[in-house]
Amino acid sequence: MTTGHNSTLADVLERCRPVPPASPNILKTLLAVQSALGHIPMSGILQIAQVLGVTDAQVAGVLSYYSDLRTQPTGRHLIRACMGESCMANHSARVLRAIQDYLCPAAGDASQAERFTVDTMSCAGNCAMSPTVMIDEHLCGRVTPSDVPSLLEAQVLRRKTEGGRPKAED
Amino acid sequence: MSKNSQRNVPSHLVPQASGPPSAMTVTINSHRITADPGDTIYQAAKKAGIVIPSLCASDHLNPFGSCRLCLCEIEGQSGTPATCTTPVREGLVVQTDTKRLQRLRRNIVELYLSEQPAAGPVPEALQRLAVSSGVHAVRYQNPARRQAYCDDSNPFFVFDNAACVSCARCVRACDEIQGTFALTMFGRGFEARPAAGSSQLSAVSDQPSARGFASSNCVSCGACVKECPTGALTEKTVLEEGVPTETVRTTCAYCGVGCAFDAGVRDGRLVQMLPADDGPSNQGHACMKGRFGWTYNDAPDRLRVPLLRRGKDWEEISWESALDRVAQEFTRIKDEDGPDALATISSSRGTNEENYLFAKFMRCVIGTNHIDNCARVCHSATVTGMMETLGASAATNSIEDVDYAKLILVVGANPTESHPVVGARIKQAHRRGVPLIVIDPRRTELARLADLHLQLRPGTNVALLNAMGHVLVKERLLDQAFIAARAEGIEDWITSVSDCTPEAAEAITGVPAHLIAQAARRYATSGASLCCHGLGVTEHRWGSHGVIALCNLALATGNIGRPGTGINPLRGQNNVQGASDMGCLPTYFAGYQSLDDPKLAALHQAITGRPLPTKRGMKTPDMWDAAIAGRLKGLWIIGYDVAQTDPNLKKVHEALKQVEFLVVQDLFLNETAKFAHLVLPGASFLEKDGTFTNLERRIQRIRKAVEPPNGILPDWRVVCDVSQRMDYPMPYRHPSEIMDEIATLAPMFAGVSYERLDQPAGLQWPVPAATHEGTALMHRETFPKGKAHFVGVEYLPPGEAASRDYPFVLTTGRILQHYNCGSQTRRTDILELVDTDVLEMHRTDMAALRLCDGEIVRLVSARGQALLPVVASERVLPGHLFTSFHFPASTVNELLSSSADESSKCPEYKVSAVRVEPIERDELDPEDEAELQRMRVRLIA
Repeated sequence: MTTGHNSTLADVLERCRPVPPASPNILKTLLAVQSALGHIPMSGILQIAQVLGVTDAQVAGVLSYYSDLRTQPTGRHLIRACMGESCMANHSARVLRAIQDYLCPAAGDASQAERFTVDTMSCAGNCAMSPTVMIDEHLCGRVTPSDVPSLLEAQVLRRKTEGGRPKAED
Repeated sequence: MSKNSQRNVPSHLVPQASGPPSAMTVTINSHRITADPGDTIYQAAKKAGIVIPSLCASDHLNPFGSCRLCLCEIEGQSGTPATCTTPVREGLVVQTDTKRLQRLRRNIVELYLSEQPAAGPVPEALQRLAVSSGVHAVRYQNPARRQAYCDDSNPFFVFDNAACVSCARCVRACDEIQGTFALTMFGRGFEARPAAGSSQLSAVSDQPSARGFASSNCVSCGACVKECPTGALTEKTVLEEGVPTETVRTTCAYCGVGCAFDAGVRDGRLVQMLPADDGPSNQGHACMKGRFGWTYNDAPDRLRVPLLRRGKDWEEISWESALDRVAQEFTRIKDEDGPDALATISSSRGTNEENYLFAKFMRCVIGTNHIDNCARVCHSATVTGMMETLGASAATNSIEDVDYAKLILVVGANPTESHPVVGARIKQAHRRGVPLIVIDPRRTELARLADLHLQLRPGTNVALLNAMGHVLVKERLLDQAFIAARAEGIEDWITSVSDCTPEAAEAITGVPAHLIAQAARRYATSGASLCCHGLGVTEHRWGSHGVIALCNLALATGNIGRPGTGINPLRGQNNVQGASDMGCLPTYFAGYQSLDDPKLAALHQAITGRPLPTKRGMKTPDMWDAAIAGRLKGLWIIGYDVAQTDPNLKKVHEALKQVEFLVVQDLFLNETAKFAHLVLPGASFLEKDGTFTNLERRIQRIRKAVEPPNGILPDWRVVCDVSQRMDYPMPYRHPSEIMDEIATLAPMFAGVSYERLDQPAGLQWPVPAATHEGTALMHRETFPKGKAHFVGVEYLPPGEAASRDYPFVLTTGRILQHYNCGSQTRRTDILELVDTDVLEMHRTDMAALRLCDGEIVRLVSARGQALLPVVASERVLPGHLFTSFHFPASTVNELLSSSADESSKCPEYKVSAVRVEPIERDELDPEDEAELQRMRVRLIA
């Protein structure tokens, strides 16, 4: 773990330190850490537990329950295909394959892994517009495999031109 | 809380105002039953003997409702709620076994079975459910099966995920009963399963200590294992040797809590120790030592035959010649040098009956009061201090009063490690919202949780407690009505605290004045403040003054003689209370009766046929002086390793060398036995009958579960046989006859008999008559001497202070994993967890001395030195050091002085001035080097 990274974790945790009589909020703290660092580093679990005054098991319980909480770093863009019942019935598996095909033409391209992480999710609550794809915070409904290239280009490119994220290479 | 309502609350503890809650009538499966308000349908049915299938419900845990087997139909209500989470209501009509419920239950059992791995046996509990609910086959073609995962990293038990049903009883037991929160439900959905710590998050490690239970903060109390309904968590001894075929109810022989256990025996061997649900002091809970630390009983180096010294070697001799030898030598010394040349140190680990017999042997056969027990080195200051103020020297209240207290004050005690079952109960109370105040130089587990932690300098208890008294007087927080009616000498006390301002105390103790004042106010105004204290109060130069200062506070605020209050010393050993009760004291006869009482003398003569010696005997430290001076020629020490555990060991060793004839009776060849002329093997608590008295004065039975190896005699038989040889027959056939004799001689045990002790609750003394139910709460109406006495005490500094040459203050004490001299726990798998004493030091001191975790340092005091690995600890303040004394190799007690409490001679274990020196690697000889290699240093969180 780098020093800079560590101090960020310490800063976030300082803001989450429970002030009696308030009880510690593990979920809120984990979300705050993830939002600051992009993920929750495994090496930080004991530190998180100590600041909150809980045990590492309690932190692990919350962390393992919510699939939105990640212990591994993700790419700069998180693209998730919904695999809920409604999306599944509307062929979201094909959409997922289209995303993977589009984003991973050359296997082992490290720069791609830094840019994109492709994952599934259980239900985005967007069943009326199945199948659903979430690109970062953006919800996209009625996605067909053939929509995928333009959708990804539009989402990622548009935000680049708008300067939505301060990453020049996007 | 519903847990309270489940307990049988004795009538005297039910608050007067609320009155008994009215019962309600419920109909379950056409049976009209009476239910208590607050019960769930499941609990009410269980009490009425109606069985509802369930996996996740437990009497010890809050309702959870995860297994869905205990479903019911309620008249006038739709759906099928779980009975274990549905409270009873007046007139409720419930069905638990309709066709519809049977079908639902069958489907649920089928789902459980479908999760089972394809290969391997189905857990017995599920097999029984399958049979009773009529599931013959699983219809699912491709079910989600449980992950193959096994955690055997704990030395005592195994978790096998294949047998688990994810009911979370283990997780809830860890949270609700033990309060350690070492377990969690990991993952979700089909994958959810219990896991210890957080190591599950990362890749599986090959290092056993880095995974599962071993990597977590688990304290191996075994609550999860006991709660597991399917055997997914099972003791390793049971897996290796099989389930017990019979059980014997007995009482644990470690600390003073007195947990009731069912000893599980198979083929004449002990295979399991299971805490008993109807155990009055533990209510089904236990700690690592009692639950798993019993395998020393089969240790290969148990003493099996008497050993006679032949120069440097031991000769195995027969019991006959060993007993002859004791009788001959004791007779010879008595004839040549008189009775005062002989002494006995009895065992606080032995039974009441054995302790009484040793005292009787000294008084009737030898004719002296030179008998002591190891209460001398722990709570003798409590005996002195409580006798002076309250007139009786035992816990005023019971362990269950922790549940009735509105504030708990813990002074100089670390119950979560030294009395873990009481510690867990205090944590439960604290989680219910009961405020906790801890006065301790160390940041112990309870101190971390406490509302107020007064982290005082070691040895300054009296200054702090007097300052609390000062605040009470100044802010008019005294309970005037109680003081007027029940106590005298208040003026003396008020005068003694008049100058003790919190500001003055801050200078002495280092505790901020406002915290002292706040603690005093909260203690006085809670409504019911319960105080428990430990050796942090007594083992000081002015230990009895500390106890007196505590009693003064309780008297001044009326926190005594009521439920949830009192002064409660946490006694350290299983029968240290009993050993003193039975008269193994140089100053009192059994039942704390005065040695010069003429009525007692007459009764003693009539019953024993011998006069009661009236001259006070020697206390243990006096015995060392007498031995060195050549006045003490013969000494008999039973189950007490003085050569490791007494302070100023060099002096103790010198004294033991001087004794002409030293008999040591023990389970093992301990450090003291190495000085002995004759060593007698002892029978363990699992191998004999008798009684122990716990820290709440409760006399409980121990029962023989297994045969002693090699025909070893229990201690009481040894005394009888030696006595017989010295022309004083003791024709007892069973310990119960000894207890009958005690009952005739000591009024406070008059109503005690083995017949009455057969009930699980035992009897709490005083029991003045056969019809008396025992005393859960002392001093309700009057004190033994009528009124209690305030005794003003002044703060005086400890025997030693940090100086330029010895800049650190060292405190010694126990840790959770080991027990006192360690002769038992070091012979169990507990050694896998902790295999050395360590020195705890504050991080800033470590940095100043350039020390790293695990480095070996030399501790030097004016008396001696010791080598210990050092670790950084958040538990001690800068300038303060802590270590345990469980391993003879550490020779910690060589560092300590002979400084002791003025009146009780309780040694000052808690304050020694020392310095810390780094050692060079080449100073170590190869043996030390090898030992260091083997040692794994316990790192403190």
